[in-house]
Amino acid sequence: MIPDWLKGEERAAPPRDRSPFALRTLKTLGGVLARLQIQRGREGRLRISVLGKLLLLLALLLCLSVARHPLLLLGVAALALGYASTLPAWELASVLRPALGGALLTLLLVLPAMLLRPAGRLNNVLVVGKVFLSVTMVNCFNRRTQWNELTAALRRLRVPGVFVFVLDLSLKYIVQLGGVMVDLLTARELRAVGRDRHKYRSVGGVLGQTFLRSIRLSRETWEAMCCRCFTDDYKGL
Amino acid sequence: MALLELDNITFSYAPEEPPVLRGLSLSVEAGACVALRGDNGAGKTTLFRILNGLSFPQSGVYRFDGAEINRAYLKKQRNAKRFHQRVGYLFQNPEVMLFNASVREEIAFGPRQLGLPREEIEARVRDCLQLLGLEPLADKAPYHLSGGQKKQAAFAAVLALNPELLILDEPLAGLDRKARDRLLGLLLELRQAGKTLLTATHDEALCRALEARVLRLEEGVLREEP
Amino acid sequence: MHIPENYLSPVSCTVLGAAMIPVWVHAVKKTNEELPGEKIPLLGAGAAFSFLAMMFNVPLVGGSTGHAVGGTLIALLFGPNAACLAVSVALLLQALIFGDGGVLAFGANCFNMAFVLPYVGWGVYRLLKGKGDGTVRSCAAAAIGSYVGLNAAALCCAVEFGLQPMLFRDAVGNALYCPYDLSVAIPAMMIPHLAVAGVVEAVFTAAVYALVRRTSPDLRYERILSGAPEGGKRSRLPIFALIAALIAACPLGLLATGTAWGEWGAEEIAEIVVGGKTLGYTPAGLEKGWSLAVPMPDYALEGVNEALAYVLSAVIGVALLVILFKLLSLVMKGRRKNT
Repeated sequence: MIPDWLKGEERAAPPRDRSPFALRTLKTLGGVLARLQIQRGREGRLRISVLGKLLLLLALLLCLSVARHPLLLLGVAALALGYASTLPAWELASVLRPALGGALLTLLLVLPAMLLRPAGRLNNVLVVGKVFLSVTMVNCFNRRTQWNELTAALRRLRVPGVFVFVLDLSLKYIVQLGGVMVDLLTARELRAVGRDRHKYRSVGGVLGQTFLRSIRLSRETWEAMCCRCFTDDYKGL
Repeated sequence: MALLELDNITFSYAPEEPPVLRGLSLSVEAGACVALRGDNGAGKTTLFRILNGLSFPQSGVYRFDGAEINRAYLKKQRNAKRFHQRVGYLFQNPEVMLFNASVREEIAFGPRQLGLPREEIEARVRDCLQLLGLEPLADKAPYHLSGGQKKQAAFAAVLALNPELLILDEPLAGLDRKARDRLLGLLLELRQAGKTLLTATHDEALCRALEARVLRLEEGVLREEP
Repeated sequence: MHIPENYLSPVSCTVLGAAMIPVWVHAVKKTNEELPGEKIPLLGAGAAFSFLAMMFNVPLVGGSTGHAVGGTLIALLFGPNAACLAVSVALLLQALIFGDGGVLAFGANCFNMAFVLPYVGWGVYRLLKGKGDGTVRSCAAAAIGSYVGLNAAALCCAVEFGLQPMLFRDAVGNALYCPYDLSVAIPAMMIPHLAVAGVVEAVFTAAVYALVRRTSPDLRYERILSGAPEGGKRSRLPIFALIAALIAACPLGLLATGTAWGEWGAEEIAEIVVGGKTLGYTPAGLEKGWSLAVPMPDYALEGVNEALAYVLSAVIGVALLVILFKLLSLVMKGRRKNT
């Protein structure tokens, strides 16, 4: 027997309300974490092996950081920009935004030095360019590589298995907790139709839940590992 | 002799809480198939945890193939490996069972822990992928899978250990028709091959198909259901 | 044809720059209306063509050099409005990064190469082609259109140069900016462009246009104008292969030694021989003029092999243009969704 209020139409008119800053921030954060899940970085037509890509990235980054000779810089710039120009537009925007941001920040940092010591200007400009290029390259790599392929590549590089395994596990946690956070916040948003006087209680709730979830998750994962004959010896990882 | 035997088990999560299991006893022959029913929160998962040596009862004895399973027994690495190889456990939430970089790695994890030779591991991985129709997903990251796919990947990972006793917590929940039929057929084959099955399920069809002995978990003890 | 810094008086630069503003506004508006969003990244490829064409210097009669612009080609593919934008962006890149063409003279350079050239070229093409759509006729129309377009632009450039000494002189009577009047500038600019650079532009345009007609016929502006349905997804491979080939070949542009007429550095202008005598002085505006320190003046870097630097410049320039127009397509798509 359902009560009367559940039968008729709802008469309450919800007052307008704004989602508070802290909750929106949390949601953004969760979304970024969970994006790793959607992140299915893939190569376009040119399928470069992940290992090759990783080595190339490391080599280019090294080149860039030690480069004094302008030719080296120019070559790296040509490679990085040329590769970036093959990305589709929407990916380009998300690759270049942080790169431009980083370059701008660096510019602000070296600006006083540039004004005070004009002789070093060229070097300072180079630093800004280096920051821009490194961030662009790392971002491109990120966009075009799946995380699990990356860890597989690390394994092939003879990085110790335990290290790679822990990396895999952390990735899994990050993705799952990000998902939990977004789910909780979405659920809250869907139900919070009216004015909520205790929004910051929700913030506590969401963070608390996420924390508890993370503890339970790690415990259960450990148990699942034990159930599959794992006994602390990291054999064959 | 029974493969597993529970004798007068009592378990509570905290001393001040009422016990979840109150003097529960159960005996399962090798090759038998038992379906467990019970309301939400009746203690099915708790019972499974005890059977897998993840929790230990406050009182009562759990024997698996004659050996008493307790903390001291599982402390020994050799015992633990052997026990966990013989008992396979499909968690209710398959998410926690997937912690490797790809489905392939996931399935290879167990056999690797046993120290099997490489060709043997590869063969097992190939077969398990094929048994559950997971070949197209083999190199995907587990967190890219859907809920049903995760369940199947987790099941494949359990099978790779070739366990004698399979403990399955809601094996068919969240699967689509095709995956359900495939898994059902697989369970039947496993039963015919002499594996012991212990499942928690609300699925009538599953119980009927496996000709399972149905038990009901109520008020902390098991009761035979007609 | 790139007018360097300080060859035009600030007043001339301002006037021409101001004249470009309504053109740009119109071009942006029309491009936004008529060009489908997915074509805009390809417009970047068009701008890259233009950028590369301008790196191919050919020796002209009288010891100076010149180059094609490719503006008419872009107009044939994406329309004169889009061509105006594409060439403007390519010019901006050249001015800011490679020091080709002055920053202050940017408006004037755009007026010549991004406004006069593509619109004239497109107009002549339409006029000559008439109603038919034969390959030979279209390609001939394209060749003549681009030839006329380039020379119209060169003429404008020459007039801008030639007006300077007539309008701006110091107390002694020495020119402040470009020292040559119309009677010198027009023949000096026009003869080589009519004889050589125009031909290069015509050949370049007709060749690429013929290739596009064969490999990606849907890429033509007339198709967009007539509202023809999209011909499915076609491979753009030939176009990008052509760009790659142009990049690889661009050091050929270095073979033409000498400076383009009207693009001398402040230190060489006093020795330039025109009509049998040297100028003998450096115009004040050139000597004391402001100029921007660009990262890679004349597509070169100190201590780097010239040809290598040239190729790398081409790659960077092309990549930047493609990236820029891809981002632009994103902005335009967003705007269209909002309206």
